[in-house]
Amino acid sequence: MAARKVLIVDDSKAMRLIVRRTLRQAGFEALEVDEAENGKAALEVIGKAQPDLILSDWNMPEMNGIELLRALRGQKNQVKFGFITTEGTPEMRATATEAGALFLIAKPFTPEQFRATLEPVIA
Amino acid sequence: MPDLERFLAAAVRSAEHTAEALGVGQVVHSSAQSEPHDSGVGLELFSDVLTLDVALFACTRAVRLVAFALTELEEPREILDDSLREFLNIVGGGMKQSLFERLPNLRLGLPRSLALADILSFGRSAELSVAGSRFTLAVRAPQQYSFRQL
Repeated sequence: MAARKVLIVDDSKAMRLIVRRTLRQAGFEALEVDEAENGKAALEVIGKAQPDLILSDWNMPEMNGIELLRALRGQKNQVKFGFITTEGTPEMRATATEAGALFLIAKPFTPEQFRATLEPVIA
Repeated sequence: MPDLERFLAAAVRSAEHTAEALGVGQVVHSSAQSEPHDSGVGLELFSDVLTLDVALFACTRAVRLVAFALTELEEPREILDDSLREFLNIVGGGMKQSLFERLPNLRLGLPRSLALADILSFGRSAELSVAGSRFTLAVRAPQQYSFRQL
C-alpha cells in the first residue's frame, strides 16, 4: 500500500519546515504530514495518527531517534522508518540498519536525494 | 595549539560546504568586522579522548540570511535562532564526517544558544562573510583532553 501519512520528528522547527518543503519539491506534495519534536512526542502522535512512514532526526532531547525506533520495534510496530540526520558516518548507518531503519539521509540533502530514497519506500 | 587550528579548518570547510548546499551563499574569509554579532550558538563534539566546542556567532543580517535559505520564509522571526542552531548542527555533522577516520567515536551534542560574551572564551576563530553578512566560527577545547592519543 502506498504511504499517505508521514510523521516528521525533529527538535528543530526550522528543520521540520525544510523537510516539509523538500518533500513537496521532491514531488510528494500529496502526503499528509504530521510533526513531533522528539521521540517521546512522536510515540504519542504515532498512537493516534498511525503514519505510514516516519522521517526522524537522530540527535534529539527527551528521546532520540534510535531510541524511538527501538521502542517502536519493541512494541512490534513495523512502521516504515528512516533517519534524516547530520550523523551520517558508516557506524551510524550500520546501527540504523540493524535497528530496522530503511534508510539514512544525511543533512544537508537535496530534493533529488529525497526522491531517489523515498520513491521505493513510499510507492 | 596546532590541533585547534586543524579543527577550526575542518569547521570552516564544513561551513563552506553547508552554506553552498543549503543555498545560503559562498563563504569568504573576511577581516572586516563592521557589524556586531547579535546571536551565538554552540555545539559540543566529544569522545573519550577529547571535548571540542564549536560556536557560530552572527550579525542579524547573517542570521536572517541563514533562516531564509533554510525555510524560504520572508519573516522567519520565530525560527531565527533555531535556524542558526540547525546550521551549526549540520556544520558539526560535516566535521564529524571529515574527522571520522581519526576520531571514529566522536559524538555530537545538542546545539544551544550562547551569550555573545562567550566568544571571548574560544581559543581560535575565523572571520567569515556570506553576501556581506558577518559570521565568526570559533573552536575551543574546554575540558582536559589529549590529542596525543589520536
